[in-house]
Amino acid sequence: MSVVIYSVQRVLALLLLLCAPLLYAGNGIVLLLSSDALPYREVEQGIRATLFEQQSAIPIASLTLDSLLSEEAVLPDDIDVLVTIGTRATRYALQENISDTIYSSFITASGLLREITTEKGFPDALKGAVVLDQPAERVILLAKLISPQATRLGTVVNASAPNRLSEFKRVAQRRGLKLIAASLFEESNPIADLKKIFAKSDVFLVIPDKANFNSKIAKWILFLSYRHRVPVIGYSKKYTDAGALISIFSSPLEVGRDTGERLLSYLSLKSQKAPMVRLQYPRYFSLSINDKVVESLGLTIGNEAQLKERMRQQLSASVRDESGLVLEVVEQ
Amino acid sequence: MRLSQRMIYLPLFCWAPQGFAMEPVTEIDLYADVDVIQTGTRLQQPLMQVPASVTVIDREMIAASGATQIPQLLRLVPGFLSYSVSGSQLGVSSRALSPDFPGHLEVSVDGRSVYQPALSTVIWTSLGIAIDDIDHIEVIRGSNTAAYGSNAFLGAINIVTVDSLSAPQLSLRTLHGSIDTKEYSGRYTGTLENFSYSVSFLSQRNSGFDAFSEPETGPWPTHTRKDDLNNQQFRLQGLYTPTLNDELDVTLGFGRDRIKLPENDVRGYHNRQFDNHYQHVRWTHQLDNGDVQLSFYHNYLHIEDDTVLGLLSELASDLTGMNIPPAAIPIAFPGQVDEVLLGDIRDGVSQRYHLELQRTFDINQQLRTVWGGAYRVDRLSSQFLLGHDDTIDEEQYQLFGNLEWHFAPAWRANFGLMVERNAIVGSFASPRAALNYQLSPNHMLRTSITAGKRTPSLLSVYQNTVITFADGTPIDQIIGNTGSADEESLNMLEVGYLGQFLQGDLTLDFKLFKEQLRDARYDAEEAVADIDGERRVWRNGLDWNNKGAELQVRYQPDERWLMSWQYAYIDIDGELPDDTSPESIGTHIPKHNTSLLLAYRPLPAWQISGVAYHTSEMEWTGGDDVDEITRLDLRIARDLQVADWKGKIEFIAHNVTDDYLDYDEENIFEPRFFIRLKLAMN
Repeated sequence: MSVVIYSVQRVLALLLLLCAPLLYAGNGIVLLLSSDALPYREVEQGIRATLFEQQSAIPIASLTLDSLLSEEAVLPDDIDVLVTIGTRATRYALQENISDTIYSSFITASGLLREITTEKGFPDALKGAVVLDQPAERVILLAKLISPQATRLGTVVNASAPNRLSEFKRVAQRRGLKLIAASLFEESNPIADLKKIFAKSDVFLVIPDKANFNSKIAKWILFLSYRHRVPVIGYSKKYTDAGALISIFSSPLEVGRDTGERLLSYLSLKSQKAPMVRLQYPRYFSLSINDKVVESLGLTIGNEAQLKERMRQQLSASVRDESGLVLEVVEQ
Repeated sequence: MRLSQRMIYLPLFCWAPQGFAMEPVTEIDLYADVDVIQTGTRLQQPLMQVPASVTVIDREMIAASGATQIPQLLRLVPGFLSYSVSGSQLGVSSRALSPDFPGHLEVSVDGRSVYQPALSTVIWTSLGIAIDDIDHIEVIRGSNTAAYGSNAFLGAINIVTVDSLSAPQLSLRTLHGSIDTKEYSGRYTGTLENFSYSVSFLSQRNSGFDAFSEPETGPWPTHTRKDDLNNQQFRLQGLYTPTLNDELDVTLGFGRDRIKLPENDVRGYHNRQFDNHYQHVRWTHQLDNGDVQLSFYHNYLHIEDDTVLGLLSELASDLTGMNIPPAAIPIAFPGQVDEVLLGDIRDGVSQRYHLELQRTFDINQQLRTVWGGAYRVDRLSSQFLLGHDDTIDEEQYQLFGNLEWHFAPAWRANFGLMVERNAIVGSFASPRAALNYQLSPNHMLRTSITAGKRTPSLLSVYQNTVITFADGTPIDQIIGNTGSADEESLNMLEVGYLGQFLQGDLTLDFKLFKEQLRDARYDAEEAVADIDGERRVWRNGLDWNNKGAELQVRYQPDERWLMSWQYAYIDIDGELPDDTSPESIGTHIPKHNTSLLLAYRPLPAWQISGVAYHTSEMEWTGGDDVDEITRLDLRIARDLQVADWKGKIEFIAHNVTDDYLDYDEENIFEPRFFIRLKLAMN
């Protein structure tokens, strides 16, 4: 029976979408993709799927930045929201003022903060964003779950680039953990610094940061983790595959889904009052475990689903908003 | 309504002292690949984007294989043959003839080519590393001249060793068993201020095959009936990271390797001693966009054979079957008397100096490139090989580049070019064009066209081996040269598919290929006016065509199971040119070649594994005709923990089924049994 109901719902949703231009009073949403690459398309797919599931009547269109720049495509006039997907699209939209209602997605918090911290001040056009970074609360809880006896966490950041060290330190302290970090400068000896951190750490966190995207440093972190038998928490499935014990990340589809939901929420509030600008961490996330590393470290951590469930329970009990905020701008 | 710039939550980012001195992290960084293959194009590329067929033999496969010598691991690569020229001399070939000294593959250890120009081959026992020093092996199955030049004519093998940072502080291994095998190896890793290093050693001994049961005849005073191995190698590897963006890798090594080379004519072996040392320095500087790498290496190999052929009169009697008295010598060679003759390489030296600069960077979001240049000197001296005492230097220049063009989300093109120049053949170019189409994130189709060129080896150009009296008067010309040489060429077309299923647990790699090889060097018989009226001469002119298919399937559903199946089919059409009766080389490479590795962990500390190999009938180019071979290796391993030491004990059986002939009818491979013990402490 439920299958029948579900099918009917799908058909109705489809009809609604087809008739959307007739039912919806506004001009809809346009997605501006940084490029045609697969991750951006997956974000688009996530947004469209959410709108479809929510039976939204809002028309939605998409174009890539390259097609816009080459004038193969034109941005429609008077759209309700321009959703920029990725750094390039966000930068272009904000710099060129191509819309007065921009929602940014699939961008790192540091990338977005760079775009909005300009001499001209906070861009009025930016109405909200879903960033890619994981909240510190989530990462540190994961560290606690995979290594309950852990008291010291280690990490490394690039001193010459914006980093999230203070956020992580604060959250670690709240959880009764000490975060030991090395700030790498240009003239630093990275291996010497990393060795010191690994020698003092029970779990190593790879916080997305320019230091950690230096491919050599990524390699050395993994090498040293084998040597010191310290589990590493990475930031992508590929990091897990390369040798991290576990990674926590939001997939493009998850970011798209979250963006879709927040867009709908934004549009429903828009008519009432100009809302706060909320730059938020992604609500949905995935875990990926490297079973070989689990085995070699002799750990018992359960599978991804079990860990995620335990995280959900503990996060909802301890955090007001699981997704957290990067920053919030309000009316004066 | 206008919004203020007041932020009610403090920004959670610590701003760098100099603001955004560096570009912040982007989504591209977050979704970039971490695990990459570099041997394909010199660009770091994930397996799905490499424009060539790649086999990666990782630590798990190495352990499960039960291999006791490095070339045995290459049986896990579709189409690769690993064989024993003698009990102590090993060979590896792929889609080419299988002589005593195969030479169409580039083999490198951590980027240092170990090809020996004096012998036009790789001395596998002189690599300087033990199996346990290997982290993984990347093998490009097919010509890779566009990236690595002449040596990679039919493929490239890069052995990547365990990094001193990840290795245990102290590890000790020993292997004992059949054919009097006694092997000891170990590694110590440590840190000086700002410098990580590892020191390793390897000592190998075995007695080789139970060959040449019949007594040898004739003079041959220094020949032996045993083909034993006695090999000692030492290595120092260092890593220095003076700044965040600079890395200096240093590798130094030396060793002595005593092997036996077969002399089928006299039913025995002669001794050969290699004394080697090498130095490899690589500096990598990371830039905001890509990196620059400067590397230098030097390989030195001293070759010493202690062969004494005996009195000329006795030698001549033995070879002709007639009784030639010493008094006959002055008649045949006026002015000479009967004397003891020396043979083979005495005081031969082979060296390679290689300096290389490489720059990698992104042109834009769609285009990535690597380019660079190299200057190389190959140096050879050997009275026996060259017929004179002078040193021959061959200077070679290389310019290379590869452009990766990601022109559409699912499409990626690679254009590679290697231009080489030396005094032997002048300038020549090896281009490659490849196209990868990603059907989905886990499925990729690729095709590539390569026009490879190979400069003839130093030895094949200058060899002039003559047996002489002590005063230099020639007695018998063995092998010579024509005084001219052309480059060998290859045209290759391949179409491949790489797919991942079951969340990556199952990987399937399939390819079809077609190759045309032209003007390859070979040694042909030629009539000359000497004691036996003939000699062999290096010349171009060997042509053949290959077509075939290769398949590799790896399935690892969980930590308990591992399965890897390799299969190659090849059809060869070509003839060994000969003035009297050209010989087909279709039988010199087996039509079917397959291996299946299975490993299972019934309990966390136990592993049972086995590898089955099958090769269809063939004629080894430097050896004998052999029937189809089926070999089964088995291994049982148990993990150990003794105080602070972790370890493993392994019981290994090689060829538990019937005896088979390995390359030569004297090399009867009987079942062999080994025990290996490994201990490591952090």
